[in-house]
Amino acid sequence: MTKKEYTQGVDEWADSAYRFALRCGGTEETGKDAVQEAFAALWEQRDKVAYDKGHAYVLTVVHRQVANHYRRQQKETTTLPSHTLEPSAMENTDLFDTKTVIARCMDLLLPQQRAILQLRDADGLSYKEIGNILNLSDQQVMVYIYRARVAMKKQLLAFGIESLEQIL
Amino acid sequence: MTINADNYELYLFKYQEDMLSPEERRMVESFLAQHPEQAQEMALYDKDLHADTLDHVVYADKEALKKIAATAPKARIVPLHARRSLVASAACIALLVAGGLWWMPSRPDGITSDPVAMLPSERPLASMPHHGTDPALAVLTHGTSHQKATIQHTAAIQHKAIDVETSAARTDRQPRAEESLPYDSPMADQSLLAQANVPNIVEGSLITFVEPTMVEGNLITFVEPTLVEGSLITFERNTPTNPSEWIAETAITILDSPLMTNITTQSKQLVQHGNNISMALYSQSIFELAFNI
Repeated sequence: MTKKEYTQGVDEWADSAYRFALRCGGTEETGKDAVQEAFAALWEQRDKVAYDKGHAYVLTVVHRQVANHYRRQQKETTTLPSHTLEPSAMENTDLFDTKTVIARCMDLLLPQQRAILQLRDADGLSYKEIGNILNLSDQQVMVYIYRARVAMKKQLLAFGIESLEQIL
Repeated sequence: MTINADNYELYLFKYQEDMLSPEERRMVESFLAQHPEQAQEMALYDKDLHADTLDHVVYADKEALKKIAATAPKARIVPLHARRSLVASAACIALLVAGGLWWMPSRPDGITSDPVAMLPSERPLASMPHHGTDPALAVLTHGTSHQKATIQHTAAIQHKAIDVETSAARTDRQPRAEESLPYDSPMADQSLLAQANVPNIVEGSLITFVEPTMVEGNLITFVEPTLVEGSLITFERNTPTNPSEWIAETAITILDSPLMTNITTQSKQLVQHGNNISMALYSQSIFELAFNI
């Protein structure tokens, strides 16, 4: 990868990498750190990473960074996993548009499910590409997508929303 | 292939995404007819229910990322984590001191210390098996019982073996499962990596590399997924080269660590003990040692 390609990669992949970091469970701060680490690693490994593999490489490093941070945090604090929140916890949420509703539904998914949906729906990656980034088989990726979409639908129903067209 | 409780979700997903053959579709339909609960669940799957993809979120400081290409050295030393706890700092400092003292009995200048007092279960280097003319050996020491493992060579350090001796510091602590790199990851290039099959390294383990004949361009890439916060690495080089010059030219690259946030100058995290240098790791890491002598 040349310097020019690296610079182009920053323009093309930084936003995607940051969104992915947030979807993996990262905070604003850890997400930015993870992206910085990923591009630093990419530049370090530029002789070995072709441009067409750069995006996947960055996402892979971002995932590891966030996962490592998450594991360390788990040692220090005990927090209620988001997916165990009851629908009643969301009663006061203003469900005023589709995006907000979907965002609230996604909040209740496991970080890994959110990460997979992000890579699939935002970046359009194949099941195999997603699996490579998250160290899963493509079949595991499909199952996670299935569970995530079923869970989101259940959550919509818990909000009393049969269809997104209701709130458009 | 039959559909069962272990794989039905995959089949239902593929059914909804039109990824099955006509025969497989009939098989799924037959399964759903016999399992109404799963049929109800599948009815909830909406392939058009897409995620909120955070399109409004942007990474603001792209210019800083571009500057990495202008300023980052080829190899670097991972800095101490800015947000690490004071406790971790104290523990690592103690380990650094312990590592330095532990080395002293093997030094030719006659300085001695009591390594037993610092790390009671460790053997001093002098009691380690003699490795003859091997140019490189890595000694991992901690605890009471010793096991042998072997680090395979990297492409850069050819035709010599690195022996690793290690033991578990705490018998009640289970080793972490070894993480695997994604197979298409550039970091998984096996020609560049030496897998250290030493699953018993635990917090506080001391790792020592003795490199008596390292020459310019030698490179060790070492993957040790079981290193944890507090692990200490000590390097020794038994050559007449001025240690301070060696330290200045020695680079350590952490390939996968959450601690790569701030890149600082080389050798900042290395501590000199005569001809030895030490570096503390503050988390699980995959690291690369580049000796540019």
